[in-house]
Amino acid sequence: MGTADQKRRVQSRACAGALYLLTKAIPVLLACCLACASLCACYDAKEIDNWAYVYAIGVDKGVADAFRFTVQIPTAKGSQSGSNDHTASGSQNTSVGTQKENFVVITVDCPTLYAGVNMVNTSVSRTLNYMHAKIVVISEELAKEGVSTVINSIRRAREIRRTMHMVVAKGEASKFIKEFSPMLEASIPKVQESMMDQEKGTGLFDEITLGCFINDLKSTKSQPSCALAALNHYTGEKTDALALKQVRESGDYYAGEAPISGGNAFEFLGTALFNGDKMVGELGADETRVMLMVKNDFQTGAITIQDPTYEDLFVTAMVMVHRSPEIKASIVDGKPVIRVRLYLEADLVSLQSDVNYETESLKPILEEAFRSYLTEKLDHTISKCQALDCDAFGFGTKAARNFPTIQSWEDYNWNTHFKEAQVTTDIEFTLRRMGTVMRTNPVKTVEEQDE
Amino acid sequence: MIKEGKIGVSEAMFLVVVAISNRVFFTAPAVVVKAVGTSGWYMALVADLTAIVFFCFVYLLLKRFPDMNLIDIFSVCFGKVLGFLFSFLYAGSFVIVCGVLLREFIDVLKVYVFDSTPLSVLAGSVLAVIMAAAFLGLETIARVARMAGFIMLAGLIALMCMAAPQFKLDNIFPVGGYGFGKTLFEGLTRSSAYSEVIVLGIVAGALQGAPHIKKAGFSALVLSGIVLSGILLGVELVFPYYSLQELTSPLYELARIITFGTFFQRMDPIFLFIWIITTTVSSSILFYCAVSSYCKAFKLSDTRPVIIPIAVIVFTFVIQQRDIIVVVDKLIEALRISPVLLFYILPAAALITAVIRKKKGGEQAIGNS
Repeated sequence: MGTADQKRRVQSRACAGALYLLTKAIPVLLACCLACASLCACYDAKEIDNWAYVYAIGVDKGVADAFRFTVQIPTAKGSQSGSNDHTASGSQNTSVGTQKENFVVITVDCPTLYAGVNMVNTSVSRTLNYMHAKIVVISEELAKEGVSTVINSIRRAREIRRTMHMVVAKGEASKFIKEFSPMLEASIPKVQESMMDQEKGTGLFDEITLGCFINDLKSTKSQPSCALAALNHYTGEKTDALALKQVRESGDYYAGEAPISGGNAFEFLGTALFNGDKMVGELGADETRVMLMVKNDFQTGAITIQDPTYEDLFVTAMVMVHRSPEIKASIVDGKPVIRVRLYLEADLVSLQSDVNYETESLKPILEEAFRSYLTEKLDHTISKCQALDCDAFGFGTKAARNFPTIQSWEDYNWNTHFKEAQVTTDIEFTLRRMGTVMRTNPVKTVEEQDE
Repeated sequence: MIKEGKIGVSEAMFLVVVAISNRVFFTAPAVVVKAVGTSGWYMALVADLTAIVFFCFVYLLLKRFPDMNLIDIFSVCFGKVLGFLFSFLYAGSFVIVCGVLLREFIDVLKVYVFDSTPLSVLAGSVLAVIMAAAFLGLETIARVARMAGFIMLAGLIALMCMAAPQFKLDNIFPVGGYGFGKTLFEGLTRSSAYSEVIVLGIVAGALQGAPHIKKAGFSALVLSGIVLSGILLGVELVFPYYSLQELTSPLYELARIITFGTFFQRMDPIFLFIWIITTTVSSSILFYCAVSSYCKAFKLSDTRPVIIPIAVIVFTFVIQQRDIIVVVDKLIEALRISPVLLFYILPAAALITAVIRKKKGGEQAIGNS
């Protein structure tokens, strides 16, 4: 009897043990094993030092293939002293690399960007990654032939972000990328970000992201535009006295013409205008500013005009947008009628003459001079864009409000009617502050004092 | 009889809200804008109103048969054979809806995030979570859904607020889209976007009577309508209609373009977190409904033996689809019409049949007898 009980107890203990194993221990063990597997990182994990992060992409017309892509990659070695430039040739002369300081520039001829990535990966130990690319530069030559194939070839990839900046460079994009290096900064991305941020303080170029450019490329309401850049070969610098007589206002310069020497070899100045995917023209400094004012993208910028009293002297004001522009577009007898009203204010920052514009009687003269200068620039820029069939101002976005449906809007075909648009402009300009000087007294010469 | 436990009104509401609103994360905004253009945001409201009208029939049916779920009601109204057939169709539909949702999620996930991970690994991982949720039961799913619902709403509101500087009012003009008639028609047919409200009919037994179903159902539809319409309006304000139509996941693209200076940008990983949680909860709800409908159709009292086989079917369905085009252009388009018939028309037909045949449930039936 006792033995049978003992046997039953042993059996029940064994059953309980087996049950415990099946219900608790084995699942916990399995869960632990699965958890261990997940500790090995993601399925497709790659360490940061497996990647070569591209900062800038340049696209030119290809020689050995359809396009010539240029990529700028940091070397991750840190800044190196001294010059250590070297060039390496790839197979069939289609791939060229240049190392300058702390970044390397690789150029490859290929049909698409990703074909190029694979080709470059055959000679680089790290895999190219565009996740941190900040700028795409297209050469002017290619832009004039059409950018849709390039844009279509790069936009689909997940690594390409719509927040990248879109730039057209005069000359070769590959050369521009090679020169697009920091002067005052140690970090390449920092200089690129800072460069594009300059638009906010100057309004001298149209800072457009790739996403906005793509939107405009497909738009039924406007035409694309983007920042224009160039390498400055210092040809604009005047050294002889004769040249000084040919006074040119700062707002009249186009990309690559600024009379600068020293500093970075590149400059961002003006706007590239497109009709569809083809570049058809460019805007200069002040033309870009008035365009940005209409688009409500202008923040502030120093505008210089001739002194209304003395033609050989100049006045500079830091112009700001007082409130958003008023744009009204209507369709009258099938033709667009657009009314633009800008509200600007300014602080006087430079006055060469001793005319007392700070007084209530003379201040309107200066305000009127600025107002008429900007109105003239605006009218001229609108006419220029109309002649080029390029609604870079986005007037179509306002005109679309007159149409009830997309069909009626698309049937109207805004981009073909823009050139017929009757545009009237009006600028409200107020000089708010006069800087640190509230009154300009004349310079006293000995003769004047004697009188 | 399956023991589903008890869930509250807010849990039931969020079950539906999460299941419905989850679709905005994927291709739906682009598909809607392709169909109706700039009027997508108010088409979502037309669809919502249509769904509310259809849900009235579901509510009246559930009110007529208190303490019964739709599957049991079909047996009473249509007889055992037809009732079984419709119940089986419900189970099959939930399997397909769950499979399509998973495949769309995985395809979009592969496009934007896990490009190298095999589809089967992604599908297997999500299904493992869904199976675990189904094993734990409706109460667990509902409680997690409530939590996920709050996370989703907070995430979407934050996303819209951060994207607000990029809003351009001009983008929603011409305001009529591809025509008001087309908007109305699409609104009526796309009311299937809200068909997940039928989940309340499947788990009606877990709710405490018709008043709770009424509160949960109508509030869920109103909230979902606001979410879908608000998100569509948000993406339309950022992307013009001609660009929006091209995007695979407009909401993900929206998260990618948010920038505040040089420091505060690349918000997509945060968005991804919300996206994955919500989709996992949403597909768990649909999977549970498939399991529940199947067990109710076959009068099984335990759901656990059915979970793994149905998961295998869903997995097979997910990996069998050829490409994303088949999923978006064929399967999702097919799911536009069939849920209207199955989830809206069938309960309405059951209600009419019940009225004609004078069938009632609960105390009303006892009173009649």
